Parts: sequence; C-alpha cells; structure tokens
Amino acid sequence: MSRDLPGEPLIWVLILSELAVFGAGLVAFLAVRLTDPAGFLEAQSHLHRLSAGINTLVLVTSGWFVARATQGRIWPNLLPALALGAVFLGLKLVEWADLASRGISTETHAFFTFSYLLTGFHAAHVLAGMVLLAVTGATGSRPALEAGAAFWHMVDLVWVLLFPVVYLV
Amino acid sequence: MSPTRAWTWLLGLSAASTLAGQGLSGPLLTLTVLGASFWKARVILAAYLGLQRVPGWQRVFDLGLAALTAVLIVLALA
Repeated sequence: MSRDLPGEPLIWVLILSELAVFGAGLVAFLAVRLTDPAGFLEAQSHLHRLSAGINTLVLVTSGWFVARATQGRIWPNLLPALALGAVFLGLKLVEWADLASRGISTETHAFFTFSYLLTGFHAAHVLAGMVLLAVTGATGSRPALEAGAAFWHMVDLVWVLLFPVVYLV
Repeated sequence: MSPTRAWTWLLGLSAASTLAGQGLSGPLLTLTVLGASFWKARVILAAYLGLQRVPGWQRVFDLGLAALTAVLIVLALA
C-alpha cells in the first residue's frame, strides 16, 4: 500500500472490528429471517420507520459537525454534534418505550431479539462516542479529537448499514 | 470531497432511503435502500474518515463493503 491509513492505526483496528461485529450481526439477522419471512415482516411493521429515518438525518448531521470540529473551531461544532447525539438517543428511547408499552420485548419474536440487540449495541456506541468526543474535545488536542471523531464516524457508518436492514428491507 | 459536500450526499441518500421505505416494496426496495447504504458508507469512509487521501486503502474498503452489501442483498432477496 502506497500510504498509511489516516490517523491512529489503533482506531482503524477498532473500526474494522466494529464493522466485522455489526456486519456479522446483520448477516445473521437476514439469515434467521429466511426461517420465518412472514413473521419478520409482521414484526418489522411495529418499528418506527419514520423516527429511524429522522435519526439517520440526525446522525449524519452530527457527523458533519464533528468533521468541521476537526478542521476548525472545536466547541462551536462539537456542542451541536453532542446535542444531535442526545436527540438520536432520545428518539431511540421513545421508540423502545413505545414497543415496551405494547408488550414487545426481546422474547416476543426472533426479529425483536436481533433488533433490540443490534440497535441497543449501536446506541451504547453512540453514548460512548459522545463521552469520547467530550473528553477529547476538552483536551484541546487535535490528534486526540481526530481519534474521537473517527470513532463517531464509525458509529455513523454502522448506522447507515444497520438502518435499512432492520427497518426497511 | 469536502465535509459539507459529503453531508449533502448523505442527506440526499438518507432521504431517498426513507422515502423508498414509504413507497417501494420487494426487490426494488431492497436494491434501492441497500445500494444507497453502500454509497453512504463509501462517502463516510472517503470524506470523513479520510480514505479519499489514500486511494489504495479506499479500494480495499470499497471491496469489503461491496462484498458485505452483496451478501446482505442476496440474503434479503432469498
């Protein structure tokens, strides 16, 4: 390879590991769906597609602010990015609360076992990413912030792959 | 690609996926939204994670992403 990957090599190990984990989860989800396509389709109809679609716009916009923070002024860009991360988690909590109020849990159907697991694991990464961005932003160090930003973009990347598989197809 | 141009692409592709989810169904929906997710992932890797500066690595990630997307499409259409 003519040049090294940008940024810290360890962050790329993390990115590849996360992509492998979530990629395997999505492949397993669709493989199990083959055993009960009608049940998966019916279960999927209970999810909030529009809310998840809005969350996609929220997350990619937060990624834009984070990219701007690495190139320009840090906090005027990090604060809206963190706020949008909180909006993402808020919408996710509303969706989970609605499903729970209708008695839908991880035990209801295999679809929900996977969807709660995949979206829950991703939401945990969003929360971790917010903490990482706040901590690396507070250091004022550009290399540290770039590592935090790379983690955030990885979270964004996972969501754009996860959203259509769990919510749309 | 600048961050703002990348963001514009991501917004457009995300809106298209959400609208496709409301209006399309079957194989056309699968191909549209998984195709869009492949391009969105490419944009994030290239513009936000900096792979556009290292074309060799970008090709490696493109291949991996294309393979994953192909497997997802095959399973979704099976």
